[in-house]
Amino acid sequence: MSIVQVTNVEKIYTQGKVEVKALDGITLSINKGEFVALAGPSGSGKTTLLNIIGGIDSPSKGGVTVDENIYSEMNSFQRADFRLYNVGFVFQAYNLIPVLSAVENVEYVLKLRGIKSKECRERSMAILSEVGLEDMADRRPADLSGGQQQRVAVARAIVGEPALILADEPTANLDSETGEDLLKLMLKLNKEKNVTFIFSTHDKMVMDYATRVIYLRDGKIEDTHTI
Amino acid sequence: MKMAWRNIWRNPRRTLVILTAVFIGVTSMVFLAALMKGMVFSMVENSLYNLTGHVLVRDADFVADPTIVNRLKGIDKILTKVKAQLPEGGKALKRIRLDGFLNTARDSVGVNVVATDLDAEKGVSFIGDIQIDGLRLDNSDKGSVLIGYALSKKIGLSVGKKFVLSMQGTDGELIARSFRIKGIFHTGQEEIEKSVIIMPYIAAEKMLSIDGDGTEIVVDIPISDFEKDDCETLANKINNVMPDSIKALSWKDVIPAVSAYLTLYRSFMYIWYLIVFIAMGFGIVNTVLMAVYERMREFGLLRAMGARSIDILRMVLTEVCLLIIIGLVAGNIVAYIMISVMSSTGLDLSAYSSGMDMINISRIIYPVLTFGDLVKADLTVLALGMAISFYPACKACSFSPVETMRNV
Repeated sequence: MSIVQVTNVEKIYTQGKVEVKALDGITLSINKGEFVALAGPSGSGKTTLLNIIGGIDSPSKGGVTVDENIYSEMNSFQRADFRLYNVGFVFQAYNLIPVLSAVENVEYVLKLRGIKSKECRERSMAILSEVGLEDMADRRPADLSGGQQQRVAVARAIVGEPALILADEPTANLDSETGEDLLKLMLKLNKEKNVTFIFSTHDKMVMDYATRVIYLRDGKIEDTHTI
Repeated sequence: MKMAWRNIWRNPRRTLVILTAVFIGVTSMVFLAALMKGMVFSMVENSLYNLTGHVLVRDADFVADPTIVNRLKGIDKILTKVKAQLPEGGKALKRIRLDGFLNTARDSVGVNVVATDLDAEKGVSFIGDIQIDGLRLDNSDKGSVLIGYALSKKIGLSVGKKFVLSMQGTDGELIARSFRIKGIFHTGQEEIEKSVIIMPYIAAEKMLSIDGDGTEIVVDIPISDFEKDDCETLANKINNVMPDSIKALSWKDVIPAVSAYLTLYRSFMYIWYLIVFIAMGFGIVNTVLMAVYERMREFGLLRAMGARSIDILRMVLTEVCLLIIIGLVAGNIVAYIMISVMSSTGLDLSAYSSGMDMINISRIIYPVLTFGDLVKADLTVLALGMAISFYPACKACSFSPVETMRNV
């Protein structure tokens, strides 16, 4: 069953008087529970595509449907609400709010949903335990290593049990061993919770974990490789 | 709230800049307002102490034609009715107050004759506690008066000397009678000393042959804040039980210039609040804006996670609110301490005494702080501070996640 449907999406950025086509007629479909990698060199449109799928950017042309919700039919408030309940994000860096502890970062999403503090804390501690950070729940991001910070970010992305998690080069700032640990964790959550993961990368090791790799170049799909 | 509290301490130096701006602003607002109020209240008090009282009851025509013809007939009955309307601690007493001529062998000057119960004047007007060279007047003394120091100098009369006082009688004819100066009084106000002659009520009553009549009833009530209209309320209350021929006027109607000064002071305070706030507001907006731009990636992240504009707006405004409240508390405490210290010592302006006397302001000013003023200053700062913080807060809401993340 398709959870993400991207249809003939184009994205054109204007830089001064120059127009740059970041995405050029992308059409793809991603099924529920898939672990998909968007691969390609820098500037190929991976991040732009992820942003459009996540609803934080709008296509210049074409349409995106996530879990049967059509973005073009939503206003910005509805999209924000949709993201809050259905999409989890893991970014490459600046992922966590520095003044909040690990557990507070995780429960922030739940608090935005209006869930009571006690339940927020219980669910957040449970998910931190799943990512192996229950002992570091009270530490601030500055007191965590890069890998631990990314695991907190994954915990935050998944705590609200969204249908879809988007990760933009989540291992880019990590050493290979920590990066691989993070991928294993994401794969484990993907399998256990049947959450769809889409992540961008240009790291061969990361691609090896994906069930499908979509290669982008110059804003177009160059190749798709299913494992 | 917890997040806002931690956010404001991310950059302690910046937080201290805002706190200092709010602190200085609030301290100066509260302290100077109290000082100004003390100055204006001293002016009002002194003006009222110069025979006006808080409410004056007179014949309705007396204001236009202040002669004996327009007197209060049967003043004791009226006094009883007035006393029945007074709040607890209020005082009322009758007077005969008319213009006359003081004649000596060499000179003749216009004077204002005030005939009253000298003991009852205590706490109502300066007559109750004036300094006297010579002897004090007795209420039963029918042939003696007190004159002011400045008048005694002007006409060259001293204690024990006699002069002739002439006033208009009830039939319109002049009545003249000689009086002996029993004492010379000092008030520190030349205008009063030059124009007022004080005598016992009975002396004027006898001279003018108006047994049981008088020209005014002066009312004094306990007042803590001259900005409140207690006196007007009392005047209305008295008017309700009096016939139309008798009129009670609050001091604001009797001495409108002083009342206008009070209004002017109030307007000045608002202008002062605004000026201080503008200076403080620039500090707040600049600093908060700087903090918002520094955290734009974080706001982008929050938006990506699904935070609505209102969540971010609330977060920034809560931070500003906390900062302002801390500044307000500190400012209030320091201003209160300063005012408390000055309330016992006062601000000595004796060096400018001649100018101060002219406008009836005491030589030593004691600041007056009311809870209402404190609340007014605090609410002004809080409300305007929050209002101007909407600009940086809206800026924080306007960051698009994509734009901010692109810079990562």
